[in-house]
Formats: sequence, structure tokens, C-alpha cells
Amino acid sequence: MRCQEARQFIWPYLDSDLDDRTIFLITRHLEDCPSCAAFFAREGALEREIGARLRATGGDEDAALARALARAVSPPGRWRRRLAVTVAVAAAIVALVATLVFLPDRQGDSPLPDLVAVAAADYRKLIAGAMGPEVGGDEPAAVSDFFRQRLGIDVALEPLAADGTAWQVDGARLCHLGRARVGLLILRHGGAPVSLFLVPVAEVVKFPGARAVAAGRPRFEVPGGHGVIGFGDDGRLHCAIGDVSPETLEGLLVAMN
Amino acid sequence: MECDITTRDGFMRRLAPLADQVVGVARRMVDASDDADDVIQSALAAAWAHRLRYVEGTNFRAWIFRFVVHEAWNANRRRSRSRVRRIEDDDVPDGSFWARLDADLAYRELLEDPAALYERLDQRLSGAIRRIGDEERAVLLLRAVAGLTCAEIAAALEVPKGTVMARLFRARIKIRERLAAVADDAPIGRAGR
Repeated sequence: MRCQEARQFIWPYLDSDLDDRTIFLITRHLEDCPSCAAFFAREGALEREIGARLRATGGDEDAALARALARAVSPPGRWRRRLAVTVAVAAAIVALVATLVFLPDRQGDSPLPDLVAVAAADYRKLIAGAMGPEVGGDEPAAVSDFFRQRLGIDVALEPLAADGTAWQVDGARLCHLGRARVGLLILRHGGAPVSLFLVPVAEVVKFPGARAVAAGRPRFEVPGGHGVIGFGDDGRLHCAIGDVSPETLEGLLVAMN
Repeated sequence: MECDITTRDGFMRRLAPLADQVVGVARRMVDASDDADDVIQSALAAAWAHRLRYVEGTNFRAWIFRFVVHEAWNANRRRSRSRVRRIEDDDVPDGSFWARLDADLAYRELLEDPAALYERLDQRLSGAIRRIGDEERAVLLLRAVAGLTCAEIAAALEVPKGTVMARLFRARIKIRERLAAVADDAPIGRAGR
């Protein structure tokens, strides 16, 4: 073994972190090389000194640990009460925010407030750029494959809307509406954004009452546009939201059949 | 016989012998010394919350330091003074690193007469430790202060042992560079210039 090789292993050697054969080779080299032997000895001394300096205690470690343990493991009554108050206030704030975010703007008019409200929230995220497609719309086949592979559903879209305007597919992604895992087809109609949420049959049960009300394709007003929900022939639930007329959205739902 | 850490008393008894190491590592790991107590408390609270996941008979020290290091990293990130600098795991210094360091006059002076520097080391060492990256600092402190082996550090940080050794190598090189600079209050590398 040469000097440079031996020195490369100095710290694993001093740490006893080498295999027996390498330790043997280095030890033999050190016996034959006074320069490396002295270098190893000095480096070892320096390493020990650095370690000792780093380990130097402030003398209060036991007290510091006991203090931390007392707070971490067994909070005193006052601390626990403070924690309970903090948690209660936080829960109230979360509940308030959730209510403001997820309640539909016209809850009284909405027979499916959960679905429409959360779909509208995702639609707004999309518009604001806070959410984007997982697969782009450049390749229509890729979008179809995406839905088939990720949700087990086949999606086929008529290229033209009822008014003759072409549907432009910007992409697709998965998202969650409440507890339901749904597909989202991101579209444009004459430049206006449209989101089509596709709720697989297995997830529809997570919207109790949907089957009773969505057969008639009810319409909703949502911030920045309109919404329409309805069932496809295969039992899938569709929710279309966009900055277009309700008729256009309804046409989209029909086209999805 | 080991204490049962699922009980409050057993948990505290198992931790007691590690006070110096836990507190020492936490204090050296944080960028701002004010954070040390919070880091220790958060780490112990997290460990206590996860106590049922600890497998009796495995390395308790490695397990507890996992929480200490991660809480310290979180505190440092919050402070935003020290970002975790990701380094590729195969970024292992080669022999040229040693050659450069070895050629440095200040480093040789440091090796020749370290006692002359020890008085100044205490202040400078803390600064030197804080200026190396979070990941390397954690490995160095777990080795030097907590006394963990490379295998134990690998278990604590949940990284391969080779990664630990590479980080330890880099940390030691950096510490020596900084201490050598202390030797003559000049940046290292003057011998080559």
C-alpha cells in the first residue's frame, strides 16, 4: 500500500470502520513508513481533541433534559389546558375556513352542495394556476390512457360542442372531491375554461342523494361561471363547471354519453 | 434489563444516561442557540409519541437521535439561516483533497502544534461547526458527541452507511480547513499560491 492510499483511509482506520484486510494493509504500511505513522498519530490526536471540545458540556445537560422531558412527556396542568385551548381555537378556525371555502355560494339552491362546492373550488384553483394537468392535452390518446389506467374509465369526447365550437383539451389529472377520487378533464370552449369532473361509479356512493337529483341535470351558479351535473349512461356522475353558458355545459354532458 | 419505554418512567430512565449526548448534539446542531431547548423538547415529544413503534432490542440511541437530528433540521429550516444543502451521495472527495490540505502550511502547523490553538478553538470550533452543511454536521456530531458508529448513524438518519462515511469525510475535511485558517487567521491554500 502506498502513502496516499493509506492516508485516504485514515479516518475509517481510526474509527475502526474498515475490513480486516484493509486494516492489516494499513497497519503494515504504518510499520514501514515513519512519515505516515507520525501523520496518523498527529491526526488521531487532533481528532480526539476536536471530539473532546465538541463533547465539552455546559454542566446543565441533565437539568436541560429533565426540563424538556417534563414538558414533552408530562405536560403540567396549565400547559395542558393551554394546549387544549389552542387546539380548540385552531379547530374552530379550521371549521370556519372550511365552511367558507366549501359551502356553495347558493347552498339553498344546490341539491348536491358537497360535490358542486368542492368541484368549484378545484375549478378556481385551476383558473388561478394553483393546480395543473398531470398529462397534457397534446396527445388525445395519452389523456384517454390516463383515465383508463388511473381510474379504469373510458373517456371519449366529441370534438365539437353543440354550437359548432371545437373543444380544446388542455389536459387531465386526478383530484379529490371530498373523499371521492375523480378524474378531471381540463377543457376550453372558445378560449373559456371548462372543467369536467368524472366521478367513477364506485365513487358515486360518496355523494348520498346524487342519484335522486342528478338525473335531471340540475344547473348551478358558481363563482366565475356555471355548473351542471348529470349521470352518464354507464352510471358515471359528471360535473361540468366553466365560464360558458349552462347550455354549453349541458351539451358537454350529453356529448360524454 | 432494559426499561420499558412505553411507560413514562421507563422512557425517562432510558434517556437519562444520554443527557449529555442528546443535549450536546442538539446544541451543536442548531444554527441559533436559542432553538436548542425547543429542539430537545420537540424531539422528545415526537419520540414519546412514536414510542410504540420502537422495536425493543434495537438501537435506542440511534432511534432517539433520529428525532433530535430531524427536529434540529426543522428548526434550522425555519430560521432559514441554513438550508439543507443536498449533496450527491457519490460526491466523495478523492485523494487530491488530502494532497491539497496536506500541502497547506497552516494545516501542517495545526498538526505540529495543536496545543497552541486550543485556547482559540472553543470559540472558532463552534463557528466552524455551524458553517458546514446540516447533513454533514449531523453526521459529525453523532460521531464525535454521541459516539455512534457509522452503522448506527446510518440507522439513525436512515441513509446507507457509505453515505454516512462520505459525509463524515467531507465534514472532517471542512473542519480542518477552517481550523487551519484559524492557525494563521488566513484562508487555507496559501501554500499553493
